[in-house]
Amino acid sequence: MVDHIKQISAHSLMYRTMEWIRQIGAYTLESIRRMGLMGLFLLNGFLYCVVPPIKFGRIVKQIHFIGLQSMVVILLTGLFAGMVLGFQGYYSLSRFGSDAFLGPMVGLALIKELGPVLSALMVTGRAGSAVAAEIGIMRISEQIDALDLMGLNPYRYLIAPNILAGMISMPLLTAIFDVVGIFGGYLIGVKLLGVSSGVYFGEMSHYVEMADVLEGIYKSLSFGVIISWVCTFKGYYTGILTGFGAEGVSKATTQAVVTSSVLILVWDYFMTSALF
Amino acid sequence: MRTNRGPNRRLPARWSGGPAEVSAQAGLGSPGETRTMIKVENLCKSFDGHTVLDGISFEISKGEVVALIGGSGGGKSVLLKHVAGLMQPDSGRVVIDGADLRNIKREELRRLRDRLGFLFQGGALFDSMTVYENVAFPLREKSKMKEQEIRSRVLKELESVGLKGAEDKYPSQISGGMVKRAALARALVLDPEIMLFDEPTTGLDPVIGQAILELIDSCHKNISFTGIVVTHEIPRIFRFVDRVLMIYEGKLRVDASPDGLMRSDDPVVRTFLGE
Repeated sequence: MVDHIKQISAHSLMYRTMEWIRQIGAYTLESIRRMGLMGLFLLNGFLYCVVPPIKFGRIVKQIHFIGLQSMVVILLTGLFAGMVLGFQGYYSLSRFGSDAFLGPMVGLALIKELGPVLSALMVTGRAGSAVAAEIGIMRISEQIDALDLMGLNPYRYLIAPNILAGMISMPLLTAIFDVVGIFGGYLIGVKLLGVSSGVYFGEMSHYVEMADVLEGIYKSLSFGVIISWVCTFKGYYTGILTGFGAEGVSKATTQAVVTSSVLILVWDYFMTSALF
Repeated sequence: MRTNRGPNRRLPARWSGGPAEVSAQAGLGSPGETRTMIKVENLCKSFDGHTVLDGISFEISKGEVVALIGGSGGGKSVLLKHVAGLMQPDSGRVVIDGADLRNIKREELRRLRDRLGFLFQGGALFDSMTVYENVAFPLREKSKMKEQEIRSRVLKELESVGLKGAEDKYPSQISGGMVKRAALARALVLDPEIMLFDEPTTGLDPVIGQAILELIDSCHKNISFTGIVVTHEIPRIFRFVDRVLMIYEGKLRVDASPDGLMRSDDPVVRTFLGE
C-alpha cells in the first residue's frame, strides 16, 4: 500500500515537473516568435521608408505631432535637468576646488547621456503612448483592415511615416534639450552660484568635442527608431497580442511605454559601451 | 420572392427561369454558362481549439447577391473576412474570379482588392478624417483623377446615400446610420465588382435599416456587383437577395433561394424564421 502511494507520488511529481518544463518551453517559443515578429515588423517599416511612393504629407504630420508638439515638455525637462546638474555639479566639484569645470561637466553629461535619454523618455511618454493608442484604436475599429482592403499598405501609411518622423524629430529635440539644459546649468552655476561666465562656456568648448556631440546624435537617432518601432508595433498588434476592446488598447499603450523605456535604457548601455 | 430587379440584373439559373434567361440577361455567352466570381471550398477555421468554420463550400456567380445568415458568433463575419483575404484558413481555399487566395502574390492580391469593396459592421471610417475626406481617400490614392473631378464624384456619391450637407463632419459627429451610409459611399466610390457587407443594418432602427438595404439594392442595380450580405435581417433581407446561405454549428446548413428557404421544413431554419 505504502509502495503504491510512493509510486503515485513519484508519478505525480514527474508529471508536474514535465508540465513545468513544457510551460517554460512554450513561453520561450512564444517569446522567440514575438521577437521575430517585431524584427520583421521593423524590417517592413524600414522597407516602406525607402520604397516609393513615400507619403510626405503623413511624415510631416507625424513630425509635427512627435516633434513640434513635444517641444514644451522638452523645454521644461531640459531646463530643470540642467539646473539640477548645475547645483549637483557645483556641489561635487567645489569639494575638490574644481568648480571651474562645471561647464564641461554639465555639457558632457547632457550631450552624451542625459539629453538623448531624458528626451527619449519624455517623447515616449507624450507621443509614443499616443501613437500606440491611435494605431490600436484603428486596429480594433477595423480601420487598418479597411486600409488593407483598399489595397493600401498599412506599413506605408502608418508605420513608415512614424519611423521617419521619430528619426528626424528625436535628434532635433535632443539638441534643443541640450541647449536649454546648458542654459539651465548656466543660470544656476553662473547667475546663482557665481562661477564666471567665461569659465563656464570656455571650459565647455575646450573639453566637449565633436565626437561627444556625434555620440548624442547617434543615440537620439536610434532612440527615435526604438520609440516609433515599439509603439507602432504594440498598436498594430492590439487585439492579436493584447486582447480586444478598450482594455486591449490600454494594455498595448502601457506595454508600448514600458517596453520602449526599458529598451532605451538597455540600448543606451550598449551604445555607451560601444562608443566609450 | 425577389421581384424588383432591374433590366440588367443577372440572376443565376437555379431560380431565375432557366439557363436561357440567365445567358440572355447576363450576356455570358452560351446558354447555361455562368461565371463563378466567388468560390469557397471546404473552408475550415478554428480559434484556440474551437471550430468556427467546418468544411464550408459554396459558389457565387457574377452579379449574384447572397445573404449569409446564422447565429451570433457562428462564423459569418469570419467567413466574410476569409473571402476578403483578411484571414487565412486552416484548410480549404477561397477562389476569387479564378485567383486562389492561398497562392496569390502580394501584387495580385492588391489588384484583386481594387475590385473589392467591404462595408464593415462599424463602418471603419477613418476617424481623423471628415466624411468627405473618407470618401475621397480611395479616389485620391487609387485613381489619377484631378481634385476637381474627385470633388464632384464624392459629392455625387454622398448625395446618393443621403449625406448631402454632412461632408465636413467627422465620424464622431454623425449618427450610426450616417456612418454606415458614409462607409457605403466609400466602399462603392471605386465601383467594385465584388461587395461584401458585414451586418449593414445592425444597431440601426428599422426605418434606417430598410433605407440602407434599399440603398444597397439600388447601388446593385447601378453597378451590378457580386455581393455577400452578412445579416440577421430575416426575412426582410430576402427581398434584396438571390440566394440565402445559412451557417449552423460551423457547417453550411442551407443553400437555397429565399422562396426555398421559406418553404423549408428544417426545424433549425424554422427557428431562424421565428416560428
